[in-house]
Amino acid sequence: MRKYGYLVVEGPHDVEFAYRLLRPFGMKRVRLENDLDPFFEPLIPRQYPPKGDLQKRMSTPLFLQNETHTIAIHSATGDSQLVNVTVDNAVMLNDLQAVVGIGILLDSDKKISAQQRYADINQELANQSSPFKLHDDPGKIKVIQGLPNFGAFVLPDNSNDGTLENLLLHSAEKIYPNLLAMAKDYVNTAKNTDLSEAELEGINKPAGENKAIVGAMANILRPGRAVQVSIQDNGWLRGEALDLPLIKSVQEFLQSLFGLP
Amino acid sequence: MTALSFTQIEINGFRGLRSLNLDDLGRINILVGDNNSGKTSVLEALSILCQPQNPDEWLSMVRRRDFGGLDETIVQSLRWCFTQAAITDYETLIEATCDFKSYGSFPLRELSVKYSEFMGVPNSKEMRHSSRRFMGRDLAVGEVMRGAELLHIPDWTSQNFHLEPKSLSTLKVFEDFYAPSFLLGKRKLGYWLDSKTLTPYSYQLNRTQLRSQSKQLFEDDSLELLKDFDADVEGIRMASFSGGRAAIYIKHRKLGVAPLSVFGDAMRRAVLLAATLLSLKEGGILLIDEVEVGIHVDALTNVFRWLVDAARKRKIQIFVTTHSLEALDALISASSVQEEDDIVAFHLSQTEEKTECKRFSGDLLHRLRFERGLDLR
Repeated sequence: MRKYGYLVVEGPHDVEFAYRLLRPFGMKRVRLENDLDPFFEPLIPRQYPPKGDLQKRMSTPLFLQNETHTIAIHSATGDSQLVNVTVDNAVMLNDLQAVVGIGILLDSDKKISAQQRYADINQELANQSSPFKLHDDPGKIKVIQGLPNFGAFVLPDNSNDGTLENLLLHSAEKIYPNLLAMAKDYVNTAKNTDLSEAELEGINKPAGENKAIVGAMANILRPGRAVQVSIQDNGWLRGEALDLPLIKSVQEFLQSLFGLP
Repeated sequence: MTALSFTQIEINGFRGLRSLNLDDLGRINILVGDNNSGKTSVLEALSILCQPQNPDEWLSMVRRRDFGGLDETIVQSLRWCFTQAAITDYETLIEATCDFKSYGSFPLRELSVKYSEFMGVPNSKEMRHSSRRFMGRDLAVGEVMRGAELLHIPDWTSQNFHLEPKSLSTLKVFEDFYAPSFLLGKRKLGYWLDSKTLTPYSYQLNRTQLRSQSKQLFEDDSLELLKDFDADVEGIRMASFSGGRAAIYIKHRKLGVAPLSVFGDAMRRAVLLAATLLSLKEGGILLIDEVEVGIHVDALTNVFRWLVDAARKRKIQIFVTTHSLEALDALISASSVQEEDDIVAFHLSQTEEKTECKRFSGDLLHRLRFERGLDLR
């Protein structure tokens, strides 16, 4: 029998980020239901449309699998559902004893600090009378007898404000230095053109500029495709990038959480 | 919320149910799970719990389970109600127990049931009032046969109840002979809860049910439900056109006045459902096995809305089993936002050690079904 675990993240970029961190352990994407370890069958949605909403996508995790492990990476589509998805998945699985680790990946921005976001998650878990409790320190794993390992990592480094984009740009300094410089220039110039206030609202948000830089680079690398495709396919999180301490620490968190060799 | 007759029940040693705890029950309780997970057994256990001083209920219960009369004898049927029977060979005369606990406005707190088999000779009184399950066997006088005795030992919330003499709470049967309570003129004794069980085959409404429940059929609430099944239904009445015995007739916009038998199983099911629920006293328990049987998917929502409203209005508590996701969804939709714990679902599964159950209600139930589209069965 394999070891099982799941990770709840905020969005599709985070899903691909987690995939790339787990790929070096031989974890591969499961495409066909028949290839998926039956343990995770209860997490496959069976009914469409969700909440009667024809424009909503079905909330299916990305399943990664190798000989020894099956891990589900689940996008909660926003930060407000992180705890709900975590708790609901635990309820649906038939045998929680067989789950080796459950994790949450979240980020912070200038409005709410990393510590505050972490504390909010813990509070929400308590509000739902969940048996899961976080370690006192973000990024550390809580081990409770009889329960899966449990932990939450606040990107980029559990203490400073930031998002996934901080880590991607950090990697880009090593992997795509020229493209990065060009993208930064481009975004900077664009901010000072004749775009309206409404049009600049997004880029002026706390992580807006970083997202625009990543997006600009991603569109060169994978033209016309969504950013997550570039994260999956390109060099952001391969080879040398995975040796960068900031990125390695997220990978080590996942490795420890799921008992990967 | 009005106090429920049962807010929690525990069952141990009954059929395949071991250390099962159903906590925080709602007004409507839905049992889901694989075949043989014990869903029907829970309904049976509840029917026993409603009659702590009337062990005759075991006979009604096994008759419902073995409707086709496949079991060899009544003793066989009773024996297999106890988990311990599973590991004992037939020749051995067994002794077994099962235990129920309950909390809620019904004052029963525990019911221990002791079952013991023996070899004996039925006395003349037992013979005179007995009724054979199947024919063609002549008894020699003084013939020794296998018998079984069921003893109910209830424990109540207050001392007063403990004064009831224990002799009221014994059932004795021989092989395939038993003395049904109506033959002995025995009425239900002691403190009990009104309960009715509907099974997948009980849409075949029979004359006995008709006699006891016809009054309820003509209430407005009944007609409302029948219209959910068929919008062209305008009325229901008893009539006798040939001057003989009366029958149930449906007044239908297209068919005119037609006998109930003309309509499909769904209409018969609707008539039975309405009559049954409406016949229950306040605080009573309605048990429905495979609630979706006979109801088309499109009619489920309306029917269950009627069921939930009627249950709330009349303060009835309902327990249903289902295999159908559509039925589960229709029941969830029928609950209101204000009364979040109106509807609770329990998923049963059997492990080596015990019968496990997972409870889903309110927000969680909505989220798992309607947002995530997950299969809870």
